[in-house]
Amino acid sequence: MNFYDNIQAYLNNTLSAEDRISFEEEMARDNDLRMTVEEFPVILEAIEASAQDEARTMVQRTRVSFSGQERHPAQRRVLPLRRLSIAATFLVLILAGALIYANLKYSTPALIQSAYTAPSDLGTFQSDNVTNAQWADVMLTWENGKTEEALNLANDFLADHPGDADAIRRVAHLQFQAGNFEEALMLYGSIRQNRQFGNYADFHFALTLIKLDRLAEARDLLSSLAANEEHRFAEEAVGLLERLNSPWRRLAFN
Amino acid sequence: MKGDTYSERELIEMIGGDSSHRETAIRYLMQEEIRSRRLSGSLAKLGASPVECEELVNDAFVALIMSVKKGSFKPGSSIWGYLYGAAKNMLWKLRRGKKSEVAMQGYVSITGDVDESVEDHIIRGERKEWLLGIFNQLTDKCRHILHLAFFEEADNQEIADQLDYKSKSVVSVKKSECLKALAKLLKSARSF
Repeated sequence: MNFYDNIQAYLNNTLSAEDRISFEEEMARDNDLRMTVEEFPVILEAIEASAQDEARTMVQRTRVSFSGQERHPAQRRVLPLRRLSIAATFLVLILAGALIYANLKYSTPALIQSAYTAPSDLGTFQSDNVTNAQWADVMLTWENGKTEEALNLANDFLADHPGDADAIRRVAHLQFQAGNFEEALMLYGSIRQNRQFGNYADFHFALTLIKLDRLAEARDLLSSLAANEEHRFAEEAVGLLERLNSPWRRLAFN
Repeated sequence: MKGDTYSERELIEMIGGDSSHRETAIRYLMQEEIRSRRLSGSLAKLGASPVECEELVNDAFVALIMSVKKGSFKPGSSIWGYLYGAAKNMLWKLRRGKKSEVAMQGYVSITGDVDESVEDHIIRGERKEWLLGIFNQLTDKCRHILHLAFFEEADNQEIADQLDYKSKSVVSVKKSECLKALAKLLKSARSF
């Protein structure tokens, strides 16, 4: 009998009486056997500790093989929220960008600013090849920021040059720049038939209508200007009409 | 294994069998856990963090293996019921305090003994580490023989077949030497 093979049986008391006596006689002779029997419960404990360690390694290895497939419930809840918030942020940024773009290019002030043309010879007014001092006064006062005073002087100037289309065009421009759109509209309207300044007056009449939010009238006028190839402002009218009818206008604050 | 389904009885038999069957069973259960989150979902509801959930689930699986191998798993018990009970019990111990120390020990009590104090739990963990340290001083061959003989309960012939020994009598002699060596290491470690 190999006594070491029978330690468990001896400790469990399952050896026959004869084998048990023989085992105990061997233990009396063999110190190593006796020591092993004494240590046997701890030996089993050590083997169990090792087996447990091995089981843990196997479980961890198995889990690692599934890595990437699992997600904590809290993470599962958070992830869609995070994705939603990222999507919402993008949406807000896109909307904000669209609003900024629309207002920079398609708002009424933007349209007017890009289309409006000031008279090129605004600084001086000559009649009979003589520089007019009265108009020089108007412009000096205007440039000094005295708008009301300049407009009064401009009206005096108009009274002194009744029916002068060039004088009317200049004063109409000042009235427009001062925000007096009704007065500007009337003045531009009065010289639309003028041969020299009529085209300029047509287009700026349309711009003044836009300023007054009379958009239907402005569209009609611009359409007729655009259709007239000989009109000096036909091209500008086409461009302005396109922008006036653009869907971006819906996003613009007027 | 893809597509295979096992009953709980079959899974218990596989866990109690050799290491390859055991690994198949654990893989099957782990896949089910990752798919349905039966354990970690419940643990998360009890306030466990993602890291704690993972550790507790692993520990519960280890507890199941040890329970089946030691024969303490009650026949007819539900595997998932056992796993949930073990994981919840370990979470309770973590919450009782000394969280980090207990976490470092990993699984200690395979019985899921709720009455065990945290201090006992830690002492048990330290003893386990001490025993592991001594056991690991044995040669690889010795560790393997003792593991097969006393944990897998393989007889000498099975061990000879698995480890390529000429005969079961060679295994018998080798096993005696390994037992003696371990006994000496344990005795000297204690006297030291």
